Amino acid sequence: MYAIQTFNLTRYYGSTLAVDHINLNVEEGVLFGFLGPNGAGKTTTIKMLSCILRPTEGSARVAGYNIVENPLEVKKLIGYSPEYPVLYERLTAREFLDMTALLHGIPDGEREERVIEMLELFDLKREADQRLAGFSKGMKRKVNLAAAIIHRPKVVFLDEPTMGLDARSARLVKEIMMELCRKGSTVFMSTHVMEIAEKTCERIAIINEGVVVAEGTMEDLQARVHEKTLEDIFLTLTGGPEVKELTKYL
Amino acid sequence: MRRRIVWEIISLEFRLFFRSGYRQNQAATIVTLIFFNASFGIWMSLGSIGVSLAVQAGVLTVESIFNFLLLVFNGLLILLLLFNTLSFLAICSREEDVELLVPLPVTTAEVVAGKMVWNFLVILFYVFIPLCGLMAPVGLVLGVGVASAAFAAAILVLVASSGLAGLLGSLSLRLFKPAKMRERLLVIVSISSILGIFIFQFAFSRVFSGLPDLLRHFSLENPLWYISPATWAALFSWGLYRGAVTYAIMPIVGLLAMAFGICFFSFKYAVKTYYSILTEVRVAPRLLTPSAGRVGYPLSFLRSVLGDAGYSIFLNEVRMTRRDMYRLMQIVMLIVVVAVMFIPHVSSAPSMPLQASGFLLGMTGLLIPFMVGTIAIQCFGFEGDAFQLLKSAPVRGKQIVLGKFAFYLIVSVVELVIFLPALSVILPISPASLLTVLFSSILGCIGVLGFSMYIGVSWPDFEKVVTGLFGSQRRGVSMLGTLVYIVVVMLIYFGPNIAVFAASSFLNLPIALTLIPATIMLAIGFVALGASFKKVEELEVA
Repeated sequence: MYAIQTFNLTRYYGSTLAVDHINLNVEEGVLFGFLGPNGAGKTTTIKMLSCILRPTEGSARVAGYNIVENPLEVKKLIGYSPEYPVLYERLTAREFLDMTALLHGIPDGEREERVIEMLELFDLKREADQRLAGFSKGMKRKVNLAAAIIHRPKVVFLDEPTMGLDARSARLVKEIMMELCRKGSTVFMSTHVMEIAEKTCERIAIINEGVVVAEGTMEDLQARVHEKTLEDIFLTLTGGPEVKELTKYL
Repeated sequence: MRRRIVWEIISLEFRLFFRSGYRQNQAATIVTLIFFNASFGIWMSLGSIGVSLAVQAGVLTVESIFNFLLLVFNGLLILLLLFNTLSFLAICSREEDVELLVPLPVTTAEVVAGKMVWNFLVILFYVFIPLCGLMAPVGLVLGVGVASAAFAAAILVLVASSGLAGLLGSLSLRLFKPAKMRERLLVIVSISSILGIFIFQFAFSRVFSGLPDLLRHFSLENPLWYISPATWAALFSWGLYRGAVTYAIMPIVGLLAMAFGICFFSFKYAVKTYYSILTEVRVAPRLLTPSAGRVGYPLSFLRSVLGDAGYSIFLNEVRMTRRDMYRLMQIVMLIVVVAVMFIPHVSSAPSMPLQASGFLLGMTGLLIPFMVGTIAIQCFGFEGDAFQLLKSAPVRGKQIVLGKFAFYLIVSVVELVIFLPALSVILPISPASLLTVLFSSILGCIGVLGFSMYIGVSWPDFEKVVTGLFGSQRRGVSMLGTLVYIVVVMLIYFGPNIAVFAASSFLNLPIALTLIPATIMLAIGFVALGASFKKVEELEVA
């Protein structure tokens, strides 16, 4: 059973092609890594799958619903954490999580419990009633992640979830992602940190210039390009000038 | 659940509105709101008391109260339409909503409904107490019933204003992305329906017996008056006062249809466009026509005056304004407001008394520098975090200030040079008066803008969307800064100038007296500009 299926998913910005007819199948309960160089189309793909952007062509099914025909049903079943921490900074962490839970339709009695659970999980209880404007980047990231999973979604889209986090928090996020998958949720994550993708993701897709250039398990990718580490696989598949060549300009 | 979600959106907007900046308490916002309400309320009730006393003393007829209400309602409508559109633009294009509201299982209609209701509540925050201050003395003369009905009609005027603000806001935002055919069709249907309501009311007024007398009484033969819901609110109060229910029914039916009709179409259109406004305008990169390197003669001259750094700041300000919907709309709305001031006078202009013509010309000459100044005070705060880049560049404070100052000066002078001579074509004004007012306005404008640079640099607010004096909007300057600007410019420049124009109109004093407050403002502006050179060097982004 697939949690995410894309069918020639395409997105143009004006005349610029950002995502070019991608086809992906992500099974339920899988931690899926989505890698690619800057500007490859990772965030655009995640935004389309989260029903933030509409595809120009093609479609996708997320948690059993079509993202174009039933966006509201999709949104009920997904969680989304943006690339950069984005919050209503004049709310407190508690208020923000409470609002997100309410908009997800969590009933009154349960909502408070879930908010406290999330604050404890992300070690934010002391700062729960402070305005988000005063939070550090890492703390803001944690609030975004908490908001993405507070309603126990079936599919979670995390765009660079560990960016800006200290080692301890990054470890916590990795553990949370794996636990979510163990409990049956699907996690679709983009990252630039090869080590995290290599160690945590069951399947990986690499996107370059809007096109998915490889997809499979770590072993599949190693066998395909005859490289051992994910970093080497990534560099081989995404091409571009050699680093040594570029440093001559310095 | 639907209602609950709409309520949650209103509650979110409420909290964002009242929590300004990084402070943990809302005292500053609340004090400013109270200050604004109190001062605005005092002015409104003073006017109302004056008219009511004059009526009781027999100096004025009782009908003058309705003329007074008509004037106030129309003034409120135009003022609130301007600020509510800006507020709507800000709350409907908030960047955070893309990442936080769009992925949630809430419908666009729920979000837009919450935002539109909030936009109306914002108006009420600002004018509820002043409206009470306005109506209390009126009630003493006309009776509580009529005053309450007039109050309710005024609230309907506000409903119409916030509906129009929604429509104007959505249309303005949509200008930045070519609309699809269905959306275009919806705009055409919405605008035609609203026009239809106006035409229906006008036609109805012509066939409704008794009403033409009433209209003549108010000198409302000009059909343009029917565009304003304020007219219908005043007519409704008048009908009730006369005890003629039939007089009152038509205006209130018209007002209700107008207010809720506008809100309905505005809501429908906003729902249709909100998603694309957020995702297409805020997320998608906009392809721009390359413009670098095109430096014509006037800009070369400016470069030689400002120097390379100052010129670069100037160009940056031009580009930022051109490509920033919110800033561009502020300038566009200023032009619209000044144009709206003209339209009702076009047909009656040639027969207008000389005094009234001079007064209108003078007011336009005052309004443009004052309004551009309110935009200019935001220019440092609007830099946001990017101000760090300016601070780290080898640019002197003087060049930063002058670069920005030059942009706003050019905007104001161009508007003055277009609007004042245009007015003199339709109004009976002598060339000498025109030149005097134009010269004085340019002098005052330099002073006001110099002072606004000092305000902008002394009280900047680098946050993106904050509570402004007129709602949740991008402000760029603290509330205190805005108040200092308004108080100083009003006391030193605006107020004395109005007195001069009034004196020259009624006492036949020379209009050249306007040069006195303009020169004083110029001197203050120069001192403030000098002080802002140093201030900007000390300015830090938190």
